[in-house]
Amino acid sequence: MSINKINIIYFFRYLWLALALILVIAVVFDSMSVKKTLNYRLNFHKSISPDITGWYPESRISQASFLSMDGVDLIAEPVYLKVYAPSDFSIMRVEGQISTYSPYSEQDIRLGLKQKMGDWDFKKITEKNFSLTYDLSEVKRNKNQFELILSIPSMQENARVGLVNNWQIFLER
Amino acid sequence: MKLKYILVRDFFNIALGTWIVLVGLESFNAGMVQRHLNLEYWFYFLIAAFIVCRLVRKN
Repeated sequence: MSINKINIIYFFRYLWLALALILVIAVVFDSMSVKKTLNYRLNFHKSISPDITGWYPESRISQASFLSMDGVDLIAEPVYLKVYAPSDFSIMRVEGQISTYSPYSEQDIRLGLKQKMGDWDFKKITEKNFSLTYDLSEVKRNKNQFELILSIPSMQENARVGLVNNWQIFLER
Repeated sequence: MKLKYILVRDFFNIALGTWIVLVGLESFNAGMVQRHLNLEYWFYFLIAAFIVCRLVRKN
């Protein structure tokens, strides 16, 4: 085999090796570079992203919202959301806005977090701008993901509930 | 040995080795790899690359 051919072989061999190494290092670095707090900005128009899955089922969400601001409508309930947590966190805080035509006192809007025993740690949303804090000591982790549920048991067929696309999730150690 | 075969074989070996490392990382910490890469599709790609490798070797 000529020297030229051997050079080609070595060039591609080291090229593939370098690319493979960069890929593995990038994945490991991404997983290890977790700070004490983690902040996710949710995008309800994109139901699958590397860190967030949801809301699902997608058929219960309408992308054409009655809201004057950026958001989505809830057509039916409950809807679910999965949040990826790369390491152990002790507290999760969910902040955002939810909009409805009926007064919040008449609605029973609940956001829950799935627990180890299979039940949900529900907290009520009582105002348009809400901030809910959850203790993660008893939370169920499935493939490093937490599951959230948004439930409105009293929701009527013609009810209009809008989820403003500004929700944030904070995970703290 | 043909140049074409060696190039394809090297590519397959490195892709296979990387896949095994990534599967190991995914087993160690679920979601670590799968959030970014679909290891299942990578596996199918490996099968295709293996077949190509065999075809190139024959010709």
